Amino acid sequence: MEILSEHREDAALFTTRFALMGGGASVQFVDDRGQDHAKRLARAVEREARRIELKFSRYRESSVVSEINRQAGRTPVAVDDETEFLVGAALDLARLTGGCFDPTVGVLRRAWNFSGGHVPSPEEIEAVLPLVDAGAVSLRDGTVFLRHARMEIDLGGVGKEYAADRAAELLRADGVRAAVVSFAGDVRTIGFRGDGRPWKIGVLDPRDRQRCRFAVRAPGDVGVATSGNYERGFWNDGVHYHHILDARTGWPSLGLASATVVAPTAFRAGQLSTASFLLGPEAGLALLEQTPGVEGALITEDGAVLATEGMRFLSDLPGGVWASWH
Amino acid sequence: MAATESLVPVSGPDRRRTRPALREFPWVVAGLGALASRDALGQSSVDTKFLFYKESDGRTQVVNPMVLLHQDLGDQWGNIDLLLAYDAISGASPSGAYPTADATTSASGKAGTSGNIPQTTYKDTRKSIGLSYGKKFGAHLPSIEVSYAKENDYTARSVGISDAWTMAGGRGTLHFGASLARDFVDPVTNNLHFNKNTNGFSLGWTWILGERDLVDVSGSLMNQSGYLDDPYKIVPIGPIGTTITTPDHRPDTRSRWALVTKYAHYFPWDGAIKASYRYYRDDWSVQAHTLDVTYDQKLDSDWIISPRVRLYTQTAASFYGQLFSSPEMYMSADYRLSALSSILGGLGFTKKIDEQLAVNFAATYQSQTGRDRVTPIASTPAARGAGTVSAADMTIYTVTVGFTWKY
Repeated sequence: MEILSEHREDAALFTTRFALMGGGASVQFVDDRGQDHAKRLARAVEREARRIELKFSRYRESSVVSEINRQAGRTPVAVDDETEFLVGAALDLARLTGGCFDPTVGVLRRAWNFSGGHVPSPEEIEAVLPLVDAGAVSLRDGTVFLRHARMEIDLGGVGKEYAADRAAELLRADGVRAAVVSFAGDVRTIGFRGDGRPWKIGVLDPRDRQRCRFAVRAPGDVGVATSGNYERGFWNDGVHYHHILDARTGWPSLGLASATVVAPTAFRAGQLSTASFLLGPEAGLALLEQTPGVEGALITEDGAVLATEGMRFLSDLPGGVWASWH
Repeated sequence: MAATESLVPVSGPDRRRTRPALREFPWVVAGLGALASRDALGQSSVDTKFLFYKESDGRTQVVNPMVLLHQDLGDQWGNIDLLLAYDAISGASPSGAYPTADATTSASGKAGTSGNIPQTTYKDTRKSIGLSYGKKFGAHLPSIEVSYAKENDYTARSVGISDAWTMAGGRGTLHFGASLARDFVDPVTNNLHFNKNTNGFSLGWTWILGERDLVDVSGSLMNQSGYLDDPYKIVPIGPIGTTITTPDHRPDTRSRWALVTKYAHYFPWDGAIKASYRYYRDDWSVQAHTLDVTYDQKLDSDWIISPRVRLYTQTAASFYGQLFSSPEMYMSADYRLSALSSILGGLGFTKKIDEQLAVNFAATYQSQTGRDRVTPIASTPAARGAGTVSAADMTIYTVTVGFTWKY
């Protein structure tokens, strides 16, 4: 773990970085209680993030998600409130997207191989698709049960945003009034920077990942999350196959390269970025416009930016009120 | 031929200006027809050029291969010119670019920590085709030309007609032309579609003064209407510190006049000087002067060396400002509409391989300086923290290689 500090009057900006959930994590917070306190706090944040990763990762044999999947078609698994909340939220997202998103979509990995560049045949997709069924996930009386054998649930779609929120809550509970938490590309902010300005969140350009396409100014305590097709996928015969699959068809969703959402929490932002990505440019933008308290910007596959009306107050997109700030 | 000229910005870096001159300047639209008249010597040729254009500070960069086919079909059928060009354009917009971000949001976080430099960047490609047909009728060489070009956010279509009328026993040529362009603008920042129309007219006179001197005087008028804003530019309004921004907004018409005088003199020692002066003005209050001098010297029977100097200066548009105290009808903070000057130096070589084939190489260096000195420093990557500098300040390099094959 690395802690850097940057003095800003009587307080300092502390930064800690670590690997998390297959990506990078960084936590920056402003604090005036000295290095030792900041180090303890940074370790506590990292521990909380790792706890969530271990508990909900499908890659960990000991995780609750792995246990639920092992018992698919056999018996309900007793879960705690936190797991119940995350499973319930995933099912809510499935309903919100009309089935485009489905927490059981992971079984399609049996047909798709994104690292190997294999394009499955329609028959291969059809063979797996019956196991993609959020309606077969039973959540009741403190248990989770996958009704069909060989079904799988994956909370990866909501886990890292939840972890970012939990880290922010931990910081706030300790008295931190200015922080930005970035977990594997999803961001949660607390308050404003030490200099009084909003935290500035760059939105990665899907076409050139060394740069940001635009930046968002976080209005206080918010989450900023992005779903995109550019991290995992392959090209075959001029077609880009990416890993965000429409659960209704088993094929990658079309139209968008990325979807970025600003919402009251990273968890909510992550849900809506996934939902709007899967719904595509028109329906995705309509969803964001209709959802109170959230704003977003969608970058289409051909590079156009479609933004909600309110993004002009949060971004430096042309016409945005932050366009001339630096 | 025209590609190098058209790619050197006259009034600053404008990627629209990276189009071949076919559409931008009607006298050149007519000029491709005039090219037919110049080359109407009963010989066909293929010209290829590969141009690399780069602005300082990571701004616009263009890679532009092009091919011009001139096919002579004989006296009975006239001649055809076909121009094919491709531009790969990339760079960072100097408007609204942030030097740093506190964090970055991305799809799965491989670059998810802080430290990336957010910039408003763009990449685009432009494919263009131009076709010209001319045929001699007595003293007249009329021609017609059509062109089409497509970018991600811009579609350009144009048609032009021209005539070169030789008189005074072959010592003088009256050349005139007209063109229409109907473009579509589809900014990537919204779902709106706009039209941009251009009507151009040109009239000129070429006079052979003797064995060694040639003069050409021409004037042109270009009327533009429709969407003339730059959808990627913003305008700051209000006092510094509480500035708000609004999109760039310009008048929806623009009349552009230009008067060009060219003079060429051939020296007895196998040298030639070509000089041109161009005066430009428009009803946006921009006035510009360009002086361009090239000297060609044959070194032996196969080599030609061509040094070149160009001086340029322009005034600002009436609605240009670096910061507006209150909203106005028309506002632009685009430094390309500010007062600026530039000096360009270049050197070219042509090597004749045999009677049919020649290769050429040219490079230019241009230094551009803004004269207002108050353009917002945020607009220019090089200017961050440097105080009162202009966003128009930059240097531009071009390298061109090509060959001409006559058959």
